[in-house]
Amino acid sequence: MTTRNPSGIPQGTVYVVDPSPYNWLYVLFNTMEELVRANKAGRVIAALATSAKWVNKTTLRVELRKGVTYHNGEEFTAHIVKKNFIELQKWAAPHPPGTWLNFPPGTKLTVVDDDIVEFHFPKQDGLAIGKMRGNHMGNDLFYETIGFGYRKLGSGEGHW
Amino acid sequence: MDAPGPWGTGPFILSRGYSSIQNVPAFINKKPFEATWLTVKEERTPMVVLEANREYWNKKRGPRLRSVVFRNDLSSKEALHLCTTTEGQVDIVAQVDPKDARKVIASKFAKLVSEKGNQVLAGVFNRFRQDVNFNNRNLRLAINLAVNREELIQRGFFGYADEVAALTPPWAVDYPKELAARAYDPENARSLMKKANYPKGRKLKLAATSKYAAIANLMAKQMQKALDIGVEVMIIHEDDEINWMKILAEKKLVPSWDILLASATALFYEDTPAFFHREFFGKSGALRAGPELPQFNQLWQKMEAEVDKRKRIELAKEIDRYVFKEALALFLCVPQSLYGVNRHVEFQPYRTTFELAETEVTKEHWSRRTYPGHA
Repeated sequence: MTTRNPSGIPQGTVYVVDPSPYNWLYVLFNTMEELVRANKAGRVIAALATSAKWVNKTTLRVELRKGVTYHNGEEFTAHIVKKNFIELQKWAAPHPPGTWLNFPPGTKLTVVDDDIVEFHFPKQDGLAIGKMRGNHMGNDLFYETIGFGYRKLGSGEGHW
Repeated sequence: MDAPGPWGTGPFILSRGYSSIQNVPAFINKKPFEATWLTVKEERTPMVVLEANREYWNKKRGPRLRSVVFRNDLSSKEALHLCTTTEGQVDIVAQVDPKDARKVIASKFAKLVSEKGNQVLAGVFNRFRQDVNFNNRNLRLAINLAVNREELIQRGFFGYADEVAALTPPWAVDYPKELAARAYDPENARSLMKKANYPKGRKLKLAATSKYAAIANLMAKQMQKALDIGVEVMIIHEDDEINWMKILAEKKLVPSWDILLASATALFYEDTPAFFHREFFGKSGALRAGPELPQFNQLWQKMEAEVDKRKRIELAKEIDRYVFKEALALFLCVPQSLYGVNRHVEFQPYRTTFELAETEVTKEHWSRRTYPGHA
């Protein structure tokens, strides 16, 4: 980590040209977050989650980061995680990379308290934690206005 | 994302413009339902502006920049020219072509930043073909031995690619350390080709998108020389790419090529077979060109279901060992991600994404300099 700007105050502007066909995803990753993200080496690390532990072979308990707010001041809680999960599960193929990123049909999410949720999978899913990178945590306003393709396409299929 | 707004919790706020895509589905299986999406069009506003989220919860991470402006009004060529010849126009150019790396290195204004890439490049064998049997391991192995990867990387990628034994690169958490890329071995390649009863006089058809045209031509020369057969290179017209990829993904029609140069993309370098091996060989793989592979499916199902991370890493290694042993694809390399970066930008690249929370600019950067007469 560089220490050129020890003040911690954001400074300067950069102009970027990114011809990557994944630019839409990178804009998303810079502005919206998920329960997990990738570190610089490409390892899965916690983001909006603080921990994810298997309670048994099909139940994953996720503790959420406290004190996080959305850009409009909305609070990030277990209830918004549930909302995002419900919005995601509405669709047959919501992920542009393909259906393999889906949580299996029949997966349920329960809110334990404001800071803890549990995923209940119908079968063992070892990839579940990594798949959370594909569940972008939008706020209420997002789903009320544009959603993932809701306003533009009338559907959340294949659109992040 | 289709419009700007305060939608997220991330280090930046999407304050102006948007970057989006239009996709068409490719249906792979009915039961269980499996599909992927192919991008037919990018929709980007000329400028996409991200402003720092000053309330971001992870202060250690950032954001360190006040704003990031994605310029979509410039071609890659124009962007590289501006980045390397002036300041205040383009600070970071992503996806620099390896052949332009020297230009960046020679620039007074910019530096070259390279990072391990997140796309593995390999040749897909068309195991659906009737007139030649790519289900024969000898044939697949012969072709693997007929490619000089070192030369390919030096001449095709100007050194900016990393050799890979199969699909999992050495920097992934689930890389089987004992595997090494197969060496160029024309003698053994010819002998295996003979054993595989490859039809005499038949030209091998190597297909590639225009992005990999130079690589395909170089490989064709290598294979012709090593195997003593004709190799025809088919470059897919840009307008036809979606149709070709849809035919491959849906597996209803038999493609006309023997080998297709294709790449898969990783979001992480752990559970690597989910991104690479599954895509090339799995039941849900958009790049699988042939009947399902029961042994692969078995290994994949074990790995996919394993919730113990340590055990899953071992199972992931098993998958890479298996596809290597079977030479299931023409294994090649992982091209590096190259960036042209203004000399006063402390760019912090990621291997599997492009995020700018940790990136910052020095006091000498054009956006922070104070000029006489200006506050």
